[in-house]
Amino acid sequence: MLSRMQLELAAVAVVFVLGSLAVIGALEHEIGWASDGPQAGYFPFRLGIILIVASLVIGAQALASGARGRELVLSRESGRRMIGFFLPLVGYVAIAQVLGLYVATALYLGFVLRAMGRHGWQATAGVALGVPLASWMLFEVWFTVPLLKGPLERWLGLA
Amino acid sequence: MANFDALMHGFAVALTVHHVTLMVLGVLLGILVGVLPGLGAPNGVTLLLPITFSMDPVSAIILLTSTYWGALFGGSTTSILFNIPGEPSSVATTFDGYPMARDGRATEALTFAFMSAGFGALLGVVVITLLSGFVTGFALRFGPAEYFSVYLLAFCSFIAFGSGPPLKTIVSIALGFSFATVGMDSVSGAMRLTFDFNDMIRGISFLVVVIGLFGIGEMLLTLEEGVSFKSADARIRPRAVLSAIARLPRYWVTMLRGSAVGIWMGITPGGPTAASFMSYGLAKRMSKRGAHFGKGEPEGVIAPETADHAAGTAAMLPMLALGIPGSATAAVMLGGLMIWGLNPGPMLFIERADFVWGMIASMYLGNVIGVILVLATVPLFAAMLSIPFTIIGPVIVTVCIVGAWTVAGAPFDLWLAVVFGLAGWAMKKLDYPIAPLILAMVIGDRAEDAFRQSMIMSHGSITVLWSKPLVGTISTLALVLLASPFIAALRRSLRAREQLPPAQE
Amino acid sequence: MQRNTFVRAALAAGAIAALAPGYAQAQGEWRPTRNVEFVVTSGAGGGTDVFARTVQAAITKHNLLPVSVIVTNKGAGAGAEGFVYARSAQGDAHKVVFATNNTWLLPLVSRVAFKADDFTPIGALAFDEFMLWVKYDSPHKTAADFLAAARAANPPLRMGGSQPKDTDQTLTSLIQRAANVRFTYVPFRGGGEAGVQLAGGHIDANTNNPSESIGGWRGGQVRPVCVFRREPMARGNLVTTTQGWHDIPTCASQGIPIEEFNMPRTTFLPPGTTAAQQAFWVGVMRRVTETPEWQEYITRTSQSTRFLTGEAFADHIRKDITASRDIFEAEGWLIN
Repeated sequence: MLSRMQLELAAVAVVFVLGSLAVIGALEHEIGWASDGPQAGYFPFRLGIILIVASLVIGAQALASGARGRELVLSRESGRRMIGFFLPLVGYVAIAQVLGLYVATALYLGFVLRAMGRHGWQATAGVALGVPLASWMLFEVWFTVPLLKGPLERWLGLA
Repeated sequence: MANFDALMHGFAVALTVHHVTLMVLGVLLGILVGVLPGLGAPNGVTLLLPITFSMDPVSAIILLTSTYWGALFGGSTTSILFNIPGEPSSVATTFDGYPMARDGRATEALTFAFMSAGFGALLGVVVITLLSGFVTGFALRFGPAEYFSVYLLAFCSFIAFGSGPPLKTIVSIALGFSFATVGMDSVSGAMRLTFDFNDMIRGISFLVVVIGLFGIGEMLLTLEEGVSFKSADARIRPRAVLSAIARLPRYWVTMLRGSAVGIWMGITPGGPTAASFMSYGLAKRMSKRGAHFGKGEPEGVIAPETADHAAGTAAMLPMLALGIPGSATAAVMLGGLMIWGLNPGPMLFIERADFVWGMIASMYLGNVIGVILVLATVPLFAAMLSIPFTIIGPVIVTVCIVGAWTVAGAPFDLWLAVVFGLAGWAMKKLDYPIAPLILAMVIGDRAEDAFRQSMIMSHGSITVLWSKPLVGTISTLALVLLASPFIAALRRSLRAREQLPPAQE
Repeated sequence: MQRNTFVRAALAAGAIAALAPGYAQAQGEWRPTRNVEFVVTSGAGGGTDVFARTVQAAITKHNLLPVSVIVTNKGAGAGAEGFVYARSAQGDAHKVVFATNNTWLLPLVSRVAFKADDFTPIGALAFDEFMLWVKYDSPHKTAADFLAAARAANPPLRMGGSQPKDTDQTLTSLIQRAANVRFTYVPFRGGGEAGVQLAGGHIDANTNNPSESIGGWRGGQVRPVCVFRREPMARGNLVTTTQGWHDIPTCASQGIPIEEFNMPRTTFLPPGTTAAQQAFWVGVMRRVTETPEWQEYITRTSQSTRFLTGEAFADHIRKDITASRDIFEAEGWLIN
């Protein structure tokens, strides 16, 4: 599903972009060494250059790696398992932005335990409701650390 | 001897039912916040602050410091069992602790961690007790140039090229330092690499990165490889605890070295996190079993743990005597001191001897209580390992995501944790070392500040790093440590060449 | 649905009825209905943090609010994190911002996504003083000695302080202009750090607040040479064995013609809050400044308490912006 070379190139592309961002961001400031030492952009600029150069070299090495580059780092089966884990996680975070962490946690646990873990309704409901409730007690009541809340908590007058 | 008398007086202050109860409560709460990723010792201490307003200062500081010790202990538990560092300073404990746990040696790893941590902490307090006057004077000699050299030393003793692919190590380090520059530059006041994006003002939180790279990254790896946590030997057996304790004295060199590193970093103050990395790096270089580090070597657990706790306790001295916060937690406690009406400074030791020595005495007791209580929580966590992965896995994910929120209360950080989770998986797959990135993030920000402050003071001349004996010694030592692997490799190849001709004859 | 709403209304009414007697004096019709968040624009342990927690302690002790108070520290970017956070909480009077003059000065020197008039002002509760400090064994006995040495020094003497382009550096520029001297300004992470660096002799002077260096003064590490005030501070207890704050002469009398320089401890509400909400909080803060806890805090930190609200506060902000803009412009700090 994913060969080592593909993953290497993807990683190198990310490093290249991050390096470029560092260089672009650094150029908003002085990047030199003045009489009071290095300026605000001095280090970010050089770090960005290092990242860009290193990414290009690693990329070239990956392209020249031959057989090792073609070996799979992610088989179709592993890939499916990973996506099966990762997509719900993305959904969890996306829902949390809108509905708050408590509701999102309940939905996420409910979905994952039922659909992926194939647990019974009772176990699923127990965990999916128990964890947000325990979090509420722990964070809101005991630690007084407010977690992200959504429309449900507002409607209940809790947020 | 005057200090000894004062300490005995301190024990008289600390050894009341009321204070011991506070220690137990503090340690328990500390273990809880320590175990939760994201929420750490600074949060634990902050949330207790309002409660301390109505207490007398001795009780208040005993409660807060005990929470701190508890958090330091609790942080190691999840590092070892789940590869999720509950505290920044227990990141280095994952390197060998988690492999040990995966081999079914969780009990052993936890026992080593707690016992050596307790040892480091006690040694740190002993140094405070005996050398308080000297240490205070020594800490005052640290200006920006000295601070920078301390960070340089920590960095150079951890980073050893040759273990991973060198270019990828460089990428890791450069990424770590770059992430550390995001946000407001505290020397010029400029907003760097924020691209006018409000969520970037905070910078990239080290804690969120750790939650992503370790917590979520580990989940991805586990799932992708299709294995669940090895629950085979998750039970805690008293005999394994005892046998680990019996074997602990064997590692006395590592423990003493780790404590020395920790006390050094606590006083200077480089902080517990950098101390644990430095101690791990040094142990790996100096140990006969250095090549086995990272695969489940007890020394790899003992080294960072002793240093971490020794630094945590030793940092209390500059905090009280000078008002220098040696860690984020100490900064909160300093705020507490102000609110309780105490002013940190040399006079505190004279005018409020009951407070200072009561606190120091409580550090002995608190750490002993900490070791006992945290050992008692092990069965609880070990029991979690026997819960089916399809249940405990998702619950850990939610703990990580909630943890990412508690760092700064920002929805954006949740995304950051997910992205770094994916990055953590890819880095493992492609042999990009993660530890140098973490260390660079920990020290990058402070090191850059210290460097630029010293350059302002020297008007741009780098020779300031060798301007005085103290800073010159530390800087030189750092460069020697950085170069030593190369020199050793060079010497080996030279010797091989010398030995080659006679062999041919 | 209806039933639920009814239950909620009943509960709310019950809660208010139960709590009402204690708040009979509260002005306006508005009062908080859920937990209140104090947004602190500094890190935990910073000056603004101690300010907010003192207010929290006074409120809790004297039951000034029908709900509990949560303090959150959002100090990144010199406080920009907290302001941006509060700005997004449009119309939410359950959040109170604790700040200094950074509310209106930070937008002048930093590219941040908020303006001072985004926020609804509550008031300034106290003013923190500034002093000129030297090392305890420094040869400069008075501020005049110090100035003479600074004029002669090459390279310039080192002045330390907290984050750049903030009060300490502004004051340093003011001194430079007023007394025609030149310093090398070294920014540290806060006054506490600048104080220790002075005690260690790594810098030559700093402009710490009294509370930031009182420990060092008592411990024989640093000492103040003058205070940036119109007249010396009010007579109080001795700080060291021989001297108290009132013994420190004004800087103006020592040849640094800066009449007054201080930093307000301010509170604001998020944008879009109503006049009734504002009035409620003005009332709460006024009562906070009347509590013994507050007085104790003021004495301990050697600040002056002066409750500034309404038009007086707005006027203070306007004047400070005008004055500061000139300095920032001359120093080249102004953003756009």
